[in-house]
Amino acid sequence: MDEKERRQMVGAEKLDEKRLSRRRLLQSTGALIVTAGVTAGCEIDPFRSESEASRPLRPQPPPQFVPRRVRVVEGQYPSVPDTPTARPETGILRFFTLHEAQTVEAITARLLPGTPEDPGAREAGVVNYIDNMLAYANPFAEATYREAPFAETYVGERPPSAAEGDFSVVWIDHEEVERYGYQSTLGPRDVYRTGLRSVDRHANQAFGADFISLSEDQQDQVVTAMADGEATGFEHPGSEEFFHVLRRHTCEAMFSDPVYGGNRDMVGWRLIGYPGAQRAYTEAYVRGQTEEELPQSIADLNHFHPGEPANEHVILPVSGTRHAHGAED
Amino acid sequence: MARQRKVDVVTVGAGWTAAILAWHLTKAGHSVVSLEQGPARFATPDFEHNHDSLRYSIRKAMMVDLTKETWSWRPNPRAPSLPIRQFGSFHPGNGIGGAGIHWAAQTWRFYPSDMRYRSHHVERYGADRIPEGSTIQDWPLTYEELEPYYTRMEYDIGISGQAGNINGELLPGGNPYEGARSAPYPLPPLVRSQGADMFAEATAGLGYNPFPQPAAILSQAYRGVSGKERSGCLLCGFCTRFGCEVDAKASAVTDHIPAALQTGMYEIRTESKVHRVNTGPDGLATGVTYTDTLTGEVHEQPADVVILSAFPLSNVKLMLLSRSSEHPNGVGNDREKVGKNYSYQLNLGPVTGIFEGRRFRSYTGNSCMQNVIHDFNADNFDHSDLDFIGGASITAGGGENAPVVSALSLPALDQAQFGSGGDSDGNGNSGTRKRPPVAGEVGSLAGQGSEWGQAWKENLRRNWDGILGIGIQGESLPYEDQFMDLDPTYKDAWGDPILRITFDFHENDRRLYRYMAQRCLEIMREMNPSRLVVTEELSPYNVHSYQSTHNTGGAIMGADPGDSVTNKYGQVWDTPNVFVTGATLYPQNPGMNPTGPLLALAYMTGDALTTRYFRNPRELLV
Repeated sequence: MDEKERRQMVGAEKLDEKRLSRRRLLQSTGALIVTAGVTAGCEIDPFRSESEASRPLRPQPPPQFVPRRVRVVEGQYPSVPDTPTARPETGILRFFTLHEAQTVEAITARLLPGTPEDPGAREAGVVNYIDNMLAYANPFAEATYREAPFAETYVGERPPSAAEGDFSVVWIDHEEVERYGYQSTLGPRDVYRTGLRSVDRHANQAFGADFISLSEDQQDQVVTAMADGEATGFEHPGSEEFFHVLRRHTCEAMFSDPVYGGNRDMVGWRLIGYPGAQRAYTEAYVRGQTEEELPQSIADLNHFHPGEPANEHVILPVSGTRHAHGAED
Repeated sequence: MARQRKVDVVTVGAGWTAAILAWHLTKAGHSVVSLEQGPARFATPDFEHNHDSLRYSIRKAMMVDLTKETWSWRPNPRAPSLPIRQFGSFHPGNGIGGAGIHWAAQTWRFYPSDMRYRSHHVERYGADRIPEGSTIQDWPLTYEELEPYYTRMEYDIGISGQAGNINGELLPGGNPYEGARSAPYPLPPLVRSQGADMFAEATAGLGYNPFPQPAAILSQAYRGVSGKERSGCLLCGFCTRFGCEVDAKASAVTDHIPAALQTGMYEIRTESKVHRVNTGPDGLATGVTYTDTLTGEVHEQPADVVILSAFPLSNVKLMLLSRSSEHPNGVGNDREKVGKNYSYQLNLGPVTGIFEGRRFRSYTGNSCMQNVIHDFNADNFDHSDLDFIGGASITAGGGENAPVVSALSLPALDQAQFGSGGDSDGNGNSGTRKRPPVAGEVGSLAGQGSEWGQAWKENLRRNWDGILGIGIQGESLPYEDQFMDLDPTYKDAWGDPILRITFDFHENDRRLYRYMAQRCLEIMREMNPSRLVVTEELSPYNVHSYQSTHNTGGAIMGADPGDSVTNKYGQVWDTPNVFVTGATLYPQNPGMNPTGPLLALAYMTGDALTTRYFRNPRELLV
């Protein structure tokens, strides 16, 4: 189906209107983003040294992430951000304060430690990923139902008697709430803002200093207490919950495409042996009979035109031959 | 309210069954309009550049937009319901082709015994073996009746697989238990993964019958009903939760929608949300009311026939919302059977093996590179001395492993022990954390592993591609306390109540799971992993971890209006110019993916509509 037919089918006006309205939405989000100074980021970005001489000796990112002949369909699922066509500029904080960014960087560097030779969360730019993610105005990066009433938990036989006739909350046995999935009134930004404050509160209670000023050993003790749900100074999110949020986003940042701001130079993919965005594998490759592919970002994936009427542009199958339609209509 | 030009047939949703029916009807000269709540999308250009696991697997771009509509859940009729605020347990789709775009493409025929489920069990084991409160029943048609439609469907879209039984003759390498088929699969099986090889060897060694997963993914180039040549699978590794960029994975947009559009009699209106089926003074449907969600305008679409061809949860909601003086409980619900027989599945991974130093390259390909045994599915094994009925597929070796998903739940180095069940906690689970974090705050993160630091890094480096899990897809029975109705509290973006699901696992499920976990453990031990993790007991159902998008029932078909909503054609007993399609019609849910049979049923209904219905419109088909 060509573009003309497609537009006829869905109504060309609708398509244009849709694009227009989505574009407006995207523009309006920019104004709401909390930003820190451009220079602030330099302190936390190991790759952003001004002088060439001070560049660390480690794999460099490709010179640019300019997509090659890429055509990405935009705005089709408006509640989920489109795939970026280029890696976001680093060294700019879009949501975090400098102190928050430094704290996130320090914690995630304990979750997945690294060195220049063997990169971890810090070297991969995990904090850049999280900062970019939180900058979306939705504020969720995935579609989320946000209608009230929200849940409140109780311990014991039944909800507090004062709750009777109160329809502003739904009372759930604290043992059962786990089964209902995400029910928090907090969005991701609230979780980070209050969670990071709690981390410092706990660090100060335990060691008399903010998290970023602690030794690595002390930082590990804080993370251990969080993972066990025993860190003091937390309320919502709880310490264990905040640990899991950080762990998940570390994982997302390390192993998502570099265009999202983490996984710098595909160090996450190199760590585990994942080739990233490839157009195809052969049967021999699947069965382990050929060399492993080098990692590749979606930004480097060539565009092609499958699915159009058979001609020289059709990608032929990896194996096999053409097969006639076998059944009588 | 704008009134649209009347058409012969309107379908709710432009998913796969809608497309199959539109193709049948438009070829026969009937005008058809499909009203689709989501966007239009085709391989070119929409799926061309989608190798982005974060956007599609984690953030679930192609699913229903939960900011506008969701479903609520409660474990039993006494518990309060809460809305499913983020995706977890299941993933209904959004846009033309529906969930059949981002599906895994595992394509089955149900067993002949699945279609006479109650009779079969009563005859073989006695009525007292049917669990208390279960509402299982027979399909109103036999396997033999549906067989020709299965074959047409398989050839129309191109299914890859190895037949096990052609006209009663058993063939080596196929599923020896399958119902007799009149023709082989049109295409040979897909590439087999390294893990599938190991599973096949282990299960054959134990005396079972492994076979390759039948798949609606082309193992070779093929020309389907749209007349367009589709490429064979490129094994790219971005399959389930993605649209296929080369149309190798069959869907409504590879074949039936283009074929229907070629007739010139078909129109799809996207971004159109249907709210009501309208009925007249005679109780018959007159059309539907919908909102153009781009403009907010409300439209009426008159039609002679209304086909409810959305996801089961949406079909049920629409029927319950469509109240009138003629149908005070909603269309199809005069006998209050709409919403009943909700069934789910036991789609879980009881055992995970860690093979130190192996590189399975399980990030390649698709889920259908796996091998399967059905020696413990359905009633293929004797249940006389067992404490449950039903069974499960047992599988291993699927590909498309994305690290952004799997790195989170990689079994921790210090938790899994070879050859033992490990230290059991209260749930009989080894290698799991002491208790899940509160999912109310972290949602789908709950219970997904907690290893961190240098240990996590070393584990990821050494073992991320050395994991081989054994999965089950177990049957789920319907029960009286398991149903769908309208939520009394929560609303969608258009002010209508959302659908409420009341569901939990029952004792038969726990026993079935316990038995299958031991079978999986035996198979895994045969494969000799470095370490393994086993979950021996079934935990209570939760909505935060993905299990399967195999939600079935709600407007079930039957032989008798007293115990069903439709006849075998999906024709609604109390409103005969309304038809329901898809898994909404299933009285219970077998241990196999539900898509193959519902496609075949749509073919049968398409046949009945075009050859018989319009001769005597508004009459019940017999």
